[in-house]
Amino acid sequence: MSAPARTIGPAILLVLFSATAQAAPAPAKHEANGVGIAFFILIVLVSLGITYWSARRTRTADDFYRADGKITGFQNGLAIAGDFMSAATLLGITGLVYMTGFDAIIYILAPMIGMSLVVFLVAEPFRELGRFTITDVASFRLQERPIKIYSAIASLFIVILYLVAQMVGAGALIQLIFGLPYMAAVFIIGSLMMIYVVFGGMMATTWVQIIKAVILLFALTFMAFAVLARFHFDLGGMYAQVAQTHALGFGVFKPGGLLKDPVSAISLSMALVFGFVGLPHVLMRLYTVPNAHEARRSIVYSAVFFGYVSILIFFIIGLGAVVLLGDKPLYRDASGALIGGSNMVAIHLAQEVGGEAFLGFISAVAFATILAVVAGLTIAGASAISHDLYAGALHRGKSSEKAEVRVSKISAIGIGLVAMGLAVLFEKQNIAFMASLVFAISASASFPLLILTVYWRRLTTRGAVIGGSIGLFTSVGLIIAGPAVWVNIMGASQPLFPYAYPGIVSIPVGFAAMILISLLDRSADVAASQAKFDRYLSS
Amino acid sequence: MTAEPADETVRLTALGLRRRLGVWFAALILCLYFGFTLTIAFYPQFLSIGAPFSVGFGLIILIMAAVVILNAVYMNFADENRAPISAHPHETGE
Repeated sequence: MSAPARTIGPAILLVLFSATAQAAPAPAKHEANGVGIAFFILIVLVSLGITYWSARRTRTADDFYRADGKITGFQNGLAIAGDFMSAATLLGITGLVYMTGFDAIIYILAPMIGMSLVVFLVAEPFRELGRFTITDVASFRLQERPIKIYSAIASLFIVILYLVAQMVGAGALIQLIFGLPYMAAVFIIGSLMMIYVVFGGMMATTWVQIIKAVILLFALTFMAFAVLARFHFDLGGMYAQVAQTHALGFGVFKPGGLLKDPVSAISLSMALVFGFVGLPHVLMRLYTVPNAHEARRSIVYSAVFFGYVSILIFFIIGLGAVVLLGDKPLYRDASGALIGGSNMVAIHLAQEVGGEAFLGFISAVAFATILAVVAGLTIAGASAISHDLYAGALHRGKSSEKAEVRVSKISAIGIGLVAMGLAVLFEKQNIAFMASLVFAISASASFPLLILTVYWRRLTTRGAVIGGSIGLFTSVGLIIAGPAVWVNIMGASQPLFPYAYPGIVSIPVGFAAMILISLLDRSADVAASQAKFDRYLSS
Repeated sequence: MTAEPADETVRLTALGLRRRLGVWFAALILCLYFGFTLTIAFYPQFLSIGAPFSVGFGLIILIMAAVVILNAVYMNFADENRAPISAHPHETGE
C-alpha cells in the first residue's frame, strides 16, 4: 500500500464534507449489487413513509421548525450524532486512518470537544432564551433587525457551502457506489431532501436522521466485530501486522502522517472545535427537545454515540483495513491503486469481511447518511430565511405563523435547487476551499457572537455586526489567499497566506473586532443591551 | 411568567453556579484537547498508538473519557440546581 500525498487532500475534505470524490484519482465505478439496490429502495420508501407520517403532524411553526419540542434527549442525541456520523465519518475518516494513521484523531476528538462546549457554555441559554434558530438569543438581547440579517447571512453562508460540498461529494459517491450518473445522483438526493423538509419539516428530518444513526451504529459495530474476528480478537497482533503492511511502517501509529507543521495542527483544531459550536443545523436541534435538561442530555448522548463510533473506526476498522485489503487485486485497479481512492476503504472492507450482502448494506447506509445530513442542512437554511430574514428582519416578528412556514417551505425548495445547480456546476471543480470555509466562518463569525452574547455584558449591536463581519471576511479572505484557492485554483506558484486553515488568525480577529468595536460604541444601544443581559443572562 | 423577586435570588444563584462550573469544565476540556494537539505539533515523538497500551492510546482514551465524565457531572449538577435561567422572552412578550 502506498500513501501518496495527492490523495491525502481529498481524504481530508471527505472527512469534513464527504465532498471529494471528484478530486480523487479518477474513480472507478463500483458494481451495484442486488442487495445494495434493495436496501437503497427500502431506505427511500421508509424515509418517504416517515415524511408522510410527519406531514400529518406538522401544522404550526413549532411543528415545522422544532418538531413541537416532542423529541426526547436520547432521540435528539442520536440525531445530533447522526449529523456527525455522516458519509464523512463512515467513508472519510476510515480512509484517513487507513492512509495516514494517527493524525486522523484530530478529526475524531474535535467534534467531541465541540459538543462539550455546547453543553457547558451555550445549550441552556440557547434552549431557554431562543425559539427556533441560533440567532434568536443574540437578536433578543441586541437590536433584532441588524442581528437577524447578519446572523442569517452567516448561517446561509455556512449552510449553502456545506450543502454544495455535501452534494458534490454525494453525487460522486453514489456514482461510485451504485454506478448511477452524477447528475442522476444529485437529482435524487436533492429531490428527496426537498420532499423531507417541505412536507415533513423538522419531525421528518429528525426521524430520518435517527433511523440512519441507529443503522450506522449497528453496521459499524458488526464491521468492527468482523474485523477483529479475522485477527482472532488480538488487537496487538493486528497492530503488528499493520506496521508490517503499511507504507509508513510503525510511523502509521505516530503523528506526522497528515499534519506536517504545528501551525496547521493548531489552526485546524481551533476551526474544528469552535466551528462546531456555531453550526446552525446542529444548534437548531436544541429546540426540538422539551427543555434545557433534555437539551443537555441530547448533547451528552451524541458525544457518547459519536465517541463509540470513532473508537471503532480509529482503533479497529481503519487500521484493520490496512491488512485486510492489503494488495488484493479485487480492490485494486490496473495501476495498483485502490479502486475509488481512500474514500472507498470502508466499502471495500465491507465486501472483504461480509461479502456482497454486507457490501450492499453498507453502500445503502452511506446513501442514507448523505440524505439525512443534507436534509438537516436544508431545514436550517430555510429557517434562517423564513424565521430570521422574513419574519424577524422584514416583518419584525409581526408576520403570521402560516406565512412564515410557507416562506420556509419555499426557501427549502429554493435552497435545494440552488444546491443542486451549484453541485452540477462544481462537479469538475476542486472545491477543497469550501471545506475550510464552513468551519472557518462558523468559528470566526458565529462562535464569537454566540459566546459574547451569553457571557459578555458590554457587547453591542454595532460590535456584533461589524466585528462579526470582520471575522467572516477575514476567514474568507485568508482561505482565498491560502494554498487551497490561490495555488490550487488560481494557479499561482505561492500562496499569499501560507496556511490552508485560517482559524489561528481569523478566530482571534473575530473576537478582537467584536470586543474593540463594542468598547468604542457610545450609542444608546449599550444601555439597552446591558439591561437585557442583566435581566436574562447575568448571574 | 416573569420570576417573582423572592425566586430571583435562587434563580441567579443557581444560574451562577451552573455557569461557573460550565466555564471551568469548558476550560479544562479545552486545555486537555489543545495540550494534546500541541503535543502532536511539537513533541510527536511522545505519542504513538502502536500497542493497545501506549501513551498515545492512553491519552486518546483519557480525553474521550474526560469528555463523557465531565458532561455527565455537569448534567447532574445542572439538574440539581435547575432553577430556570428565566422565562422564555417570547412567552413574556418582550
